[in-house]
Amino acid sequence: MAERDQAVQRIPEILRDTGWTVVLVGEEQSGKLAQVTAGLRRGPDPSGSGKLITSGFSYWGLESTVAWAHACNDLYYPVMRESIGSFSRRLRAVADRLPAGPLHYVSLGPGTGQKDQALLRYLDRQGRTGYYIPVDVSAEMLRLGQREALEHLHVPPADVLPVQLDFSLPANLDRLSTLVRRVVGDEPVVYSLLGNTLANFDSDTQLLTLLAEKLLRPQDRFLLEVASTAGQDEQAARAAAQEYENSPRFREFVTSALMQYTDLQIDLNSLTCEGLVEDDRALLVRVVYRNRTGGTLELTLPDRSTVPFPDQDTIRLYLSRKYTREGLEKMLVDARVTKAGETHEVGHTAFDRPAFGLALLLLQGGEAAPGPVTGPNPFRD
Amino acid sequence: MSRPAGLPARLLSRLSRQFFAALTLACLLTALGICVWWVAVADDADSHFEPAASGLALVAAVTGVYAERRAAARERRAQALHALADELVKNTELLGAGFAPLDPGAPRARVHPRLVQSATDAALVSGVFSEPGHEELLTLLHRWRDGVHDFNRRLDLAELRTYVSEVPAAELLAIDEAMHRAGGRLDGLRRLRAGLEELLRRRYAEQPGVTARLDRLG
Repeated sequence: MAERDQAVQRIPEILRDTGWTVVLVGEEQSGKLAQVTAGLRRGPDPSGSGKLITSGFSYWGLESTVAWAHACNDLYYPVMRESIGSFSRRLRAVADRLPAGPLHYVSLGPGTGQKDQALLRYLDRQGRTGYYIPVDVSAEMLRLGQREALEHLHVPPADVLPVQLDFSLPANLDRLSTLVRRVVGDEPVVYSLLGNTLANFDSDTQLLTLLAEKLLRPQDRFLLEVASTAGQDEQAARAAAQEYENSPRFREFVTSALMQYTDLQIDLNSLTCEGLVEDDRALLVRVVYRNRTGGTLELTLPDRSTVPFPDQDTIRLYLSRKYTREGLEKMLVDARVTKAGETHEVGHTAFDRPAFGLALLLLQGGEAAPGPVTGPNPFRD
Repeated sequence: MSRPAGLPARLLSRLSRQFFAALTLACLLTALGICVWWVAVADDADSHFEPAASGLALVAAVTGVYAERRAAARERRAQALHALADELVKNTELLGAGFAPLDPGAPRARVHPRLVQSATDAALVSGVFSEPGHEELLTLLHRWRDGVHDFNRRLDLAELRTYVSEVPAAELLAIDEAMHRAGGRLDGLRRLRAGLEELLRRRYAEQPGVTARLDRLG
């Protein structure tokens, strides 16, 4: 036991060699395969609500990580490139609302790490950088993101603690919360969920509620970045879907999970992006793979079992949303978080096209949901 | 403790200004008639001077005291109406664009424009509409002035509330919603403004310049 302690104590010294990174693995990875398999075993449903690759697993594994990195730099996928390119500027608009003093940073789903680098650079310039804890279900994504996030920064390797964990599970969030509090004590932490990641989850509001409830203390803040839309009609929904359809790299990324978990011969022409209006809260984009062979195919899953894939049956590969202002406000109220700062930016669109943009919100939790306003109101008789 | 006024004083107080104007004019015209008759019956040339001089003085009194005063009052009334019409145009703009509801997505404390009422105050204080026939306008101007004063005061309080300390977005929206609600203060002011415009167009349309100014409202 004493020897093991000594080995752990030597890790900072080992990390000075840039070839090494440490990752804390927080859950049994073999159990994750069962989740993927369960999603692909669902019954036939030509409408796109049957078989699916569950959120998070689109990015899980080496192929998906590489494909995602390529998609983020695709000239035909400008939304993600603009989102990354403008992040530093948008961050400055809310950064003055961050807690004063040293700040620890927990990045939920760091992606390619470029946005994390912007935030860490902002803290680094002010000498306020604390621990950097990127959290992702994919070890490959963690390593890729970490390398990008820390480039040219003065963050000691020993202050970086990547955690491989699926943060959409309540039990995992309890463990993550315990870990973070052990590491930082009572000092403030800024958590982030950037790149419209929240929109990839079916139960986005429930996930945000869970994150706020399990992670946020009154002194902590939460940076949330989501895609936004000004209009909410069929034309806007179609335009939202087209953003994804136009990018060959995105199509490769979104089918990479299917290649990884099944033996399906991928036909990129069988991929469709559907834009739908989701109540009054968002535009919903579903990327669906449809069997157009005219016959039933057999899918072999990672556990060697087979699943019939009939003609016109679908596999939902990816889910995304663009939120309306009202939908976003309602989600924040339901998740019991309040805004400490925000910036909304509309992307470059033609005057006759729907205006899509990005919202970066600095949230705080640890408070009860706002009840009815009872303060003095000069216009209430 | 004021003494009860005597019967003659009470009777006098009940007589209108028009009665005294008519009495004055009747006296002057009677005196002028006497002067004309005096000139006619005077025996010699020297005796003509006194009734002629008195007659001319009386003519000057009739035109100067009464007719000139009425003409000056008409001019002042025209100026007051022009100022009221201009003020109405300005307030119509403010009540439109100046009080747009807050963006629910990004509510912020803001300084609202104030409705102007200097022309209304001047019109009321100067007494240019004190002659008979302007009672409806006077009543409406008083209601408009009180409404604007009350609304501006509430704006002061709302801005103090939202600027002195950090106010949650929900409270900003609640104040804005209460201001804009149907049947609320802003709604009432807009109805008063519409009534004032309708009265100026209907009752004072023949007054040169009033309709032309109001037509700028579009």
